[in-house]
Amino acid sequence: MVRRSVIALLCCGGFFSLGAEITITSGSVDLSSAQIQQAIGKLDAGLDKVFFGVASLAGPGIVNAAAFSSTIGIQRQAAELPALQIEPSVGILVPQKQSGDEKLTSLPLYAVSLVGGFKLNDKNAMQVRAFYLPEISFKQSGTSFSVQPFNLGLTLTRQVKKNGEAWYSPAIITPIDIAYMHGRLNASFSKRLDNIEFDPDGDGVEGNSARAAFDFKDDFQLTWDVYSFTTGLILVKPFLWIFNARLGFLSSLHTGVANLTNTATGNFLVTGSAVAGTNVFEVNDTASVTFKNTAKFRPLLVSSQVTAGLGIQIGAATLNLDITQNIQVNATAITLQLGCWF
Amino acid sequence: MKALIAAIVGFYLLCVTGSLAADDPALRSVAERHAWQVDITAGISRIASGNPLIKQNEGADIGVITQLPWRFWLEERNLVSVRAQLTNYSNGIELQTTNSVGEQNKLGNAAHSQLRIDWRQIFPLWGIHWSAGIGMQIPVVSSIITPRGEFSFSEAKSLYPEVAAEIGRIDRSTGIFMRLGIDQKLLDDALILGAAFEVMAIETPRTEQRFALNLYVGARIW
Repeated sequence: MVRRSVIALLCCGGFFSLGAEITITSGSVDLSSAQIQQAIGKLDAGLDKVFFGVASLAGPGIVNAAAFSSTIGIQRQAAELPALQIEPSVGILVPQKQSGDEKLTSLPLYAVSLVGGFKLNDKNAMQVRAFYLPEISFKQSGTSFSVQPFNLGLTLTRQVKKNGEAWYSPAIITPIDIAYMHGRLNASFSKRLDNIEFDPDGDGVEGNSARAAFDFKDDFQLTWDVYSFTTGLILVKPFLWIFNARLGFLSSLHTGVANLTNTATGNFLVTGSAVAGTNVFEVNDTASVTFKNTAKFRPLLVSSQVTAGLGIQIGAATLNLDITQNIQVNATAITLQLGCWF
Repeated sequence: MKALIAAIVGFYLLCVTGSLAADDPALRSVAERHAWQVDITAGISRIASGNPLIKQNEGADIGVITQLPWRFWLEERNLVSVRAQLTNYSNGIELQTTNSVGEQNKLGNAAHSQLRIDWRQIFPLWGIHWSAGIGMQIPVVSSIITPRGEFSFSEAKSLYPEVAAEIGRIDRSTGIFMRLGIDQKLLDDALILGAAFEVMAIETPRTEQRFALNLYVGARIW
């Protein structure tokens, strides 16, 4: 048995890197020959490009959704700063396509946190929001999943203007927020790919193509770590004794990364080949293949959001609904908060 | 419906801004006008163009405006602004190839970001803080989704040379721009609101993103 490993690294600029590693063992093919090495190199580069294309369907969407999600909770403010605030918050991000958009800029994602706040002085308050969930595993449609989210946000909330009596004189609040969001998603599934086309002798001559079937188990891991700085203005107007209406505009600076790692391990069977011989892949040759690939994606550097909300406060008990549209990520967050605000 | 909501919200914001302006003393003391102040800002921008690819764009920015304690000429205040800005384009660039179901392949979700640094001088007239400034744009990153994955603009131009000229219209660039507009300080300088027109005077590489409208809100933090 001969074993050879080929490592191919493609650098796609400073921001999108891509690497692939393919390991092949076979009892029916002489993997040491130069021709076969060429063929393996081409197969590796081909699979690498295919995987990067597939990864690009998920990577930018998840990292942009995570960036937007990290800012959810800042929008809920009141006319007066809280002496003490304890409010669990749950939200969902719903992406949309604009006319002309080819692909979603965002994927659906959650936004969950427990928000605590307290007043520092007459004009400033501190608000903290956090959420942590231990890793949970479940199976769906034959695929094993495990997820582990974590997020943390810290807001210095400034009251720029107090609420006036007139309807056109609302309180003006400025949040200055830093946020971090981490998530990890693992998925494991089995799949068969038929008719993978490749160059059986690596000579690059057109017409000398071959086809193969690949039965494999795939371990897919997606992790994201995103940091955001957010600020803007939120106008808050209390009305009818128990209601608060909010209208705001916020911008965020995002940095961070989503890493996608894919490991496919399985059996490769050549089902058709235009060439024959010991130094090439011919029909009925078999091989054990392990293919590893990674891709990185970064969030949009800046995004802005328009937010509107309505709150009900009876005594210290509060119920708030906020709808936030992120213009660049092109997703809507619907957030519900229920708790106490003294 | 969207227009009605926008009209109601716009009217409310106009009333709020009007009331803020009415509350603000017409003139700040010389000491306040010529003291260090730092505001943080959040804004939007839009590039004006009739080109179908460029006209559907949305810009966002976040920044810091610092008021300098010096006066050089007839201006009342001098401001230096540093902004991180992103512009994204919703319309795709069509390729000559088709995908597996016969639809035209496209490059889409194009976005580029840059740093904009400018110096503004404020000239009050009729209670409005008119401003004129000059600034520099420094490119940061770009990204575009292609059928082969997400790449930078320069990589996409190499991968798809047939649309390199089209990408060139919206490319990231280095440049010098002029700015004319309003930077209105309100509520004892606690709040700043701005609207300005920015024109790229010198740009390399040359693109078709020369005229932009910028709106922002901000609050003083120091």
